[in-house]
Amino acid sequence: MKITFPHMGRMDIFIKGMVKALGMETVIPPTNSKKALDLGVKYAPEFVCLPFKLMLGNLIEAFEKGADTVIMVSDKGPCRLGLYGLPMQIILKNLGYKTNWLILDTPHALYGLFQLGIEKDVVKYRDKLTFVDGLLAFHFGWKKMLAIEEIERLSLKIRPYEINKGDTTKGLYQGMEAIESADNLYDLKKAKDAVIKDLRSIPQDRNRRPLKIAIAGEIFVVLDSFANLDIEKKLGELGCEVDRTIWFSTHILHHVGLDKFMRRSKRKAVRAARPYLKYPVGAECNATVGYAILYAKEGYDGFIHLMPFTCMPEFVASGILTRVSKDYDIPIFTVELEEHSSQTHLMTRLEAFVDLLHRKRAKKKVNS
Amino acid sequence: MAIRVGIIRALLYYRLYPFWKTFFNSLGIEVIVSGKTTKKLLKKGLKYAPDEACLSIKVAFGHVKDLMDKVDYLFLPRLVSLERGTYICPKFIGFPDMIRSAFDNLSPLIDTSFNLRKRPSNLFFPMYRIGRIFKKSPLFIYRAYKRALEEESKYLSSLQKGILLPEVLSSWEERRTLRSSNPKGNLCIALVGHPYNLYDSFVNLNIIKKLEDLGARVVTPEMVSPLEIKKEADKIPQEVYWSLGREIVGASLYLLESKSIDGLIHLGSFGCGPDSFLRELIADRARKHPEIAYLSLILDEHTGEAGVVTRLEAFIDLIERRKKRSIRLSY
Repeated sequence: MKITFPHMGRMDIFIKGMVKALGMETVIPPTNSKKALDLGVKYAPEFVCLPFKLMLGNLIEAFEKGADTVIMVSDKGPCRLGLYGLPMQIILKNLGYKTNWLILDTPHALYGLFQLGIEKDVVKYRDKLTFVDGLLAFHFGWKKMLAIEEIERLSLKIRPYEINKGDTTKGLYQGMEAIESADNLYDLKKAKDAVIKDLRSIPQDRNRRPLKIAIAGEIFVVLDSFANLDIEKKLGELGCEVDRTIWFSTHILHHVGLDKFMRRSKRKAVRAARPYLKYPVGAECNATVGYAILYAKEGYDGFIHLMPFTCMPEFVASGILTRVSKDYDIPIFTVELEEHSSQTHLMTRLEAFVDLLHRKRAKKKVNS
Repeated sequence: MAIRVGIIRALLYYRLYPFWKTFFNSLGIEVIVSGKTTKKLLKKGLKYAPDEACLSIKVAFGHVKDLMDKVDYLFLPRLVSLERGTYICPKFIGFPDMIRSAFDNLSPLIDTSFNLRKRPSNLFFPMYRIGRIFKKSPLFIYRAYKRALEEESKYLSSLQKGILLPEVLSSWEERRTLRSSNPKGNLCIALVGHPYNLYDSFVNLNIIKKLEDLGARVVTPEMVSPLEIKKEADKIPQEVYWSLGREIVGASLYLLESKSIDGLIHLGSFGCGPDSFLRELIADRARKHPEIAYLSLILDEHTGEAGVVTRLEAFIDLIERRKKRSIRLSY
């Protein structure tokens, strides 16, 4: 009985942290790479969205490493995510893997998780574990996730100012590794503080006035740096201060209902989108439109909308964003990501977009 | 002059038109339908629709553009869900909003939401809201609603008689009796897909006519009884929550299992989200029935007629040869 799960951004750090504290047996698939994507593209239906292909690739790699049970977070939405399990099961069965599936789409499904743990000895030393242990494990994973997000946020702030290109990215990757290998809360705090100090000490040119760009869109491609071709890093090195709208922690907090007092919460974004979208379409669609409005009001220079090719809810958003762009006078750039998207292609388009923003800013200055 | 309400000949027109039309006519409102899809109309749609749109949405944009200046109100209901526990498609939910952002100086939209996901008995409330836009009395609206329901159930039951939907719809519209069908061909081909792909003869390059010319009898999901569809769809381990998708999968699984067909064609449009999964489900089941030939066609705005004809001819040839061989083998 070995559990596995598909990747989404750095969610693996959260789960690894939790699992480490509980002593569960898991197989974590290798991080998203060209190999996973190729495997996914080979076996997935043709017009399915990019997240499906990557997840399928992850699972195939995990099964090759000996996993036999999949836990997948899902929903009952109008979006395809809720039905991912169905074609994946068919494909993996046809490939000859024996699979157990646990799809967490309703609160009721958590009961299945509980049962699985009791029946199949997933958790070692079960008799010694208590409810408090579970809570502590969750807390540790959560703290790890927050630490990763904090250094990522900091790197986004520092990157446009760095004098030697690539310093921040190098520091960030080293920091992620240090945080990942922390075993307890004390080590974690120490590692995090050291990383933050390192990042702050990167030589910077504080006289620059970087462009401000916000990134929003479908959650998987926004969170996963492989899927979005490292768009944050690219923009940062082009001299733009990037703000990402979706983080793993804010997403969870939104769904638990604890984001009421946060500054840029999804709740506020959905409300801001109401003049354009009168009904919740599903997934991040309403929030994407709302964020474009909120950031335009805050005076951001540009807005980037990420979506996988053939994504249904984000397609609705992309249609409406053209109108938002006109009404609020903010350039919006929709990037459709698929397995054929290339680094250079994206880079060229980003360069053009950044040029446009620079010219727009200069024009504004002259006019005022 | 009577108020004119425009209904587009796209998306769920093929299913819900009798219902809408009866309702509006009973309220004393004139209904105007956009023209049949043509190349010119599609081109207009391409100009306004986002690039990433699926073919069906692009066609619908064209119809809106066609109808825009001819009517007082444009009727684009927000169809969230028409059955318990299902959705139609996220694009249908955002469709009126997309239209509003894409076109300037649009005639007023009627975009009442139909969400029967939790309570299917709630259908009257959105209808009441529509009626109130025209300042009709509640009783009057209720009577129109009842009449519309009656007409719809009549329409749906006549679809079950094994006659293709375009014929049923036109006979309903002209108020004449159904022409009794005389199934000619000796091959029976099931054609499954979303209704707006199956019955728009421009979008699917007149595939039904082509199949009939090649000597085949065409069966569509509408001819399968809803009970059978439900039975088959319930056997799928996870619930398919797109109501049209559920119908397509249920009907094709039923047809495959019943062994009453010689071939199955799945018609999908380029960029359609649900279709990408439905194809996988149907193809998996079709693999288990090697005696039934399976063909999957994807339609887009560039589809060349010759390509489709070639594939259909090859498909029919394959089935015929197979039949001959199996007869020879049984001797």
